[in-house]
Amino acid sequence: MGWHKEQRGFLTIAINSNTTDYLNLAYLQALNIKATQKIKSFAVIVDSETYKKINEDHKKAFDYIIEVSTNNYGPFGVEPQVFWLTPFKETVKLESDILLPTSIDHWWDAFRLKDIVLSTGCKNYLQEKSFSRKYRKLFDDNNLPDVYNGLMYFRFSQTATNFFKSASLIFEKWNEVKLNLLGCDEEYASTDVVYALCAKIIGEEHCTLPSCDFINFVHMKPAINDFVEQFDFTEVFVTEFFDGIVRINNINQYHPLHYYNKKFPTEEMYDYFRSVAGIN
Amino acid sequence: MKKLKKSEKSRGIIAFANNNKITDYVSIAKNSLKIAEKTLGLPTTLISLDDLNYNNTRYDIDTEQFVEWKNYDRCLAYDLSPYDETIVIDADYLILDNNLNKIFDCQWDYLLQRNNLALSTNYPYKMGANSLPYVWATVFAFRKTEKSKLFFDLISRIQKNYNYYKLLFNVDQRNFRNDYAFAMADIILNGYSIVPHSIYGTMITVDQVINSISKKDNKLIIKDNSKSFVLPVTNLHIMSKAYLQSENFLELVDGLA
Repeated sequence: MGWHKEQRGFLTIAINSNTTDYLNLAYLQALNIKATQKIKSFAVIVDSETYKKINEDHKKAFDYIIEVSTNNYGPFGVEPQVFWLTPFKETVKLESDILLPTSIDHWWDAFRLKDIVLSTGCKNYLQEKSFSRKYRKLFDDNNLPDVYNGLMYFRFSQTATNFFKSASLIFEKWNEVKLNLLGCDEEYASTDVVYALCAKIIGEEHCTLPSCDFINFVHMKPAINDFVEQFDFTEVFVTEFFDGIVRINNINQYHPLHYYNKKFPTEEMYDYFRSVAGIN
Repeated sequence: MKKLKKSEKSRGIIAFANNNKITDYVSIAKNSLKIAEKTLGLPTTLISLDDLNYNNTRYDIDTEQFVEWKNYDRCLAYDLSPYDETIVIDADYLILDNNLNKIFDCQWDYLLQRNNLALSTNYPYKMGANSLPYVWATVFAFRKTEKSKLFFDLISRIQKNYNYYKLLFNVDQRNFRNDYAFAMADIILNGYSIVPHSIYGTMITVDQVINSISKKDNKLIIKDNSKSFVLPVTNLHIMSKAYLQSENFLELVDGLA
């Protein structure tokens, strides 16, 4: 098994910023996964500063805590390292502000059709496919696949090795790479763009599952839901949480929920998932 | 001796109508039901409950002012319908094609109209800028089942507590609207989700003041003050109550029925 400790599990990266406590979001995610999934091993990757914030409660929820050194390749520069850091032979990597309100255990069967699966497209909170392209102009201008790294699967394999080696190289050489992209003036590489480029390099057919169009998540970024950019859904909508059901503006959220707005988690959610997961 | 089908269910059409000071809804509904009966070959029932204490208003396109509107009795359809399978129509809904007969071939407890196309206006499709899509209670169908009973009980509850529900659902309009109460009940009853099941096709709403509707060579010709619209023979939702009380409408009814 090499450096791997388990066959399957979830992984997220939590590197706190000045404004966001990603560690606490990852903690909620770990509790949520332990409460809703059968496959529920959970690993978190943190930097040295965030590592100092880890307390006893966190240790009960995280099965693996992995410290990583940050690099000079921007805020997302450590992303490709997940391949070499994960304790799992098969990993579902999530962004830390995603919740899984219902079980996605059966998705693993679909994931296993490929060595890497990037989620494709996204849904709005009505649970419908979103057609907004506002945040995807760079992808459209450069004919890149509409992939998201927010939820992705990879297996220890040659394909995944090539994918993440390419990703590391693109992060490293971003200043040169971006000159070849139409309309790209981003100082730092974003993981979605890098992984879309990698998908192009290794072939989209090797890392997406068009026939499984459910493999994506509800994205609460404003334009995806036809909201204006300043719209704060936690202020305008009635958002409810009862017995593990997340309801936003009277619509139950059954699909993985990328709540995006960091004000969304409540103490009630932590308490509920802690209790169901049996972590006190 | 005539052999009866063992499981045959009663099936019919009902309409609700309550007169106000300017509109004789009862006469309009009688004429609409006459057309519906001829088109679908089903029995009809008119329900008029003038003792309801609620009062509401709607914008009248003919007089260009808000007028009294008694529309609070739709939630009683389940209890008052004499049929096992019922199509409910507004007094101003004209059934001119027989597609509604085909809905009974499908499995459902209740069936709503979700899509609308107006001839002169683009209606919003949501109950408010930050709300959810609504349905059209102008025409719907239900079977007397447990789920339908729950549906109508829920509409009744929403109606009684409308000030709460309109805030919960971010509704922009202040007045009670059946379309909204039906949409809210439908969302709640379907596990707080939006389901696509609908009466087939799009409802055509004639939303302007019109002078005449005539049928010629299997086409409908609708004339307003400036234009003529030629449509295939299809069901119509007529907003102009003045037209529905006009001589031209009575001629159309006589011609069709």
